[in-house]
Amino acid sequence: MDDNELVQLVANQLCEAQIEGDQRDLELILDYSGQLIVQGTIYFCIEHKNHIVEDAYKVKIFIPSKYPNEPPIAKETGGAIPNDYKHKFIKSGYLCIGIPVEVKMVFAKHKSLLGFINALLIPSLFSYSYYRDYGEFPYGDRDHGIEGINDFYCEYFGTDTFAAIGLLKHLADSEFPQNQKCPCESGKDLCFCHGRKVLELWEHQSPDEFAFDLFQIILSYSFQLKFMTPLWLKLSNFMPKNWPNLIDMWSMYAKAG
Amino acid sequence: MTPNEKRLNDILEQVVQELDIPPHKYKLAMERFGSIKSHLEDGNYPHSTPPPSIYLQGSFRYGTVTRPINGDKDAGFDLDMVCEVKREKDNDKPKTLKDDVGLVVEDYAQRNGMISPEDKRRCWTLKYAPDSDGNDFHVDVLPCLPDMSAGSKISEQNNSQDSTEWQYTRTTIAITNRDDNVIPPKHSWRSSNPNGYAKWFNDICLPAFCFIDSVRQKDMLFDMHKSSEGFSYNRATDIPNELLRTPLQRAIQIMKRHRDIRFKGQVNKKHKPISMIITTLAAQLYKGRASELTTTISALRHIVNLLAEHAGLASDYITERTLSETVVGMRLIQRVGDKWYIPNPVNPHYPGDSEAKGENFADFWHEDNHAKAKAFFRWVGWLRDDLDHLINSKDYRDMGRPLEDAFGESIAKRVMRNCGVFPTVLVSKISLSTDTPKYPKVELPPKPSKIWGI
Repeated sequence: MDDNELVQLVANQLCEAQIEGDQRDLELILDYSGQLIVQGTIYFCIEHKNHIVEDAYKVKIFIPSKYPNEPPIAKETGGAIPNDYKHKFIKSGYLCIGIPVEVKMVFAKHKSLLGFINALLIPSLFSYSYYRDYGEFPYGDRDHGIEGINDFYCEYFGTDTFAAIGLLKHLADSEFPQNQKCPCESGKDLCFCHGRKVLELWEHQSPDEFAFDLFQIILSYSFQLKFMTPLWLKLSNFMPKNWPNLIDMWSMYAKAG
Repeated sequence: MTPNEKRLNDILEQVVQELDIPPHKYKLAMERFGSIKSHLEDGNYPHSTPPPSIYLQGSFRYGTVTRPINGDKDAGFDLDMVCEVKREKDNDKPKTLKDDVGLVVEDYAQRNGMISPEDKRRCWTLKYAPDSDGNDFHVDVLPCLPDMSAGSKISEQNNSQDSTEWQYTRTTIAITNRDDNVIPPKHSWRSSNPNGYAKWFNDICLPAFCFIDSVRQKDMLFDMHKSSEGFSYNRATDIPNELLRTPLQRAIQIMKRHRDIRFKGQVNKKHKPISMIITTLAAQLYKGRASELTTTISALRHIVNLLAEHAGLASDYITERTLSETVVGMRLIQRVGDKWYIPNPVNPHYPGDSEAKGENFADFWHEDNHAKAKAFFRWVGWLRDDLDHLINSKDYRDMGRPLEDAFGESIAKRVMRNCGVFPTVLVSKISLSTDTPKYPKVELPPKPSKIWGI
């Protein structure tokens, strides 16, 4: 899609969000560097557990160049959400809407601005409103960093960490062997067990992005095991093939906070 | 200078122009200073015959005035001044001195229809009504006595340091400090030397004035502010020399602003580095290099890169606390055991000195598991990254968002506008109609994504 087509697509989708989604206080701008940004105030009214929460937040939604094949990212710009809120990237100030691959999966079902706003952005903002007013997250939250990512994969696959690592390795190495037993140790072949779950994730991230998730989970998990035990050694077999390339990426990621 | 450096230097000079005090506001600040000064000089101070010495201190004295931020907006300026009463310290008490000066300041407030001055830990604060921009203006008046004997001791004990020569230490003063952690609050003497520090700082800047383009600076100030309300200078040459800035002063202004933006709303904002630390370290790193560091960007990068080389000191592992040979000899920031040292150059406290001797700007850096030290080096790292990001930008348009992140949205917008770069509105907002709910009802998805953080 060229730049003009992207602008037209986002403009049309913004009109849809303004009219059908009643988000009238949003505008589309082309900023200094040619970045498309939807900015303004998001309003919502949500009923949850017999509480009605009405709130508004000033936001900027940044449209990536690969949109709608990649979801937008957003910042709250009115200062209503403090920088020490744990679900906000410390240095950049972007909102942590969810685990990246999960956000991509949800957005892929909509591929629209209104879908991003209603299915991802507003739930994230509502989480803060509810937490601020009632002291708890309305539908839970995930731990910081790699613990949260690990938690997602275990929940998604319905397995423990070790099995999740085994399944993630297929995504990281971009391999789907036909006659291999499923890492969950059910005794079934992968393609008749968790294979479908693996294939559902396949298109939403690149192998390198899955490799990075896998690399971090293995590093984190290996610290919990005793050095050079059979389990520790078995774990090292699941490192993604390109793991030396990930070390620089990991140190940059650590600095990003 | 490479083209990228030149572009960034131009941008940084514009950023500083936005941060610095405009000439007409400087003129107003000096008029207010002059008015308070006259009143304090005529004041009645028991047991003191000569009038007190009244002088500026802080950023107005050093030429590093930086507009503070208040929430999301730029706030007004603060002016710091000293009221040095001519009495003997041995015959005086800190609370008595503070109250005597307080009475004179209170009298000024009443005569000028102002609210009573606020009694702070060490000074009296006068608040003026907001100006036409809606910004506040405060004046802090610091009561003190001359303490030349303390200055003499500093020179004798530190005769290897040129910054503690008698020319700098003879203006040492005794200020009052109120400890509010005890009941009733306890007043005690503290040592300070704003005149000596200002002279030391000015001597570092002096050679740089040979290299700055004063005509260009005054022209820029004149063009930028000539249409502002209250601007009364007829020509650029009428703008006072006190508003000329060296690369060191500009680098410090930029660092202070970056610190304010990066610590805004952060959980560790109470640990943000104090301006005296930034000013002292920057000046020490710039000293003797005025002919080499002739631009804002060269001074800034030199200072930031060398500060970043000290970051290893903050490591939790002793084996990682190694420094390059370049920085070892500088003794700018030292960590001895678990204590940190950044000595006041004109009144230093070094490792091994007794508690009461000198001043160490980093005396609280070890608290909360070295929270202030870690915050300082993390901030230096961010500043270096932000400068790298800006210098690697392809063109002016590309610099807009990194400028916002580094110096705040309001300044970035004004600077970009000056460069002829504007955001373009492609689709406007639409107004509410009577049948449109202000807060539209939204159904949460059946299984919302759980929020997550790094």
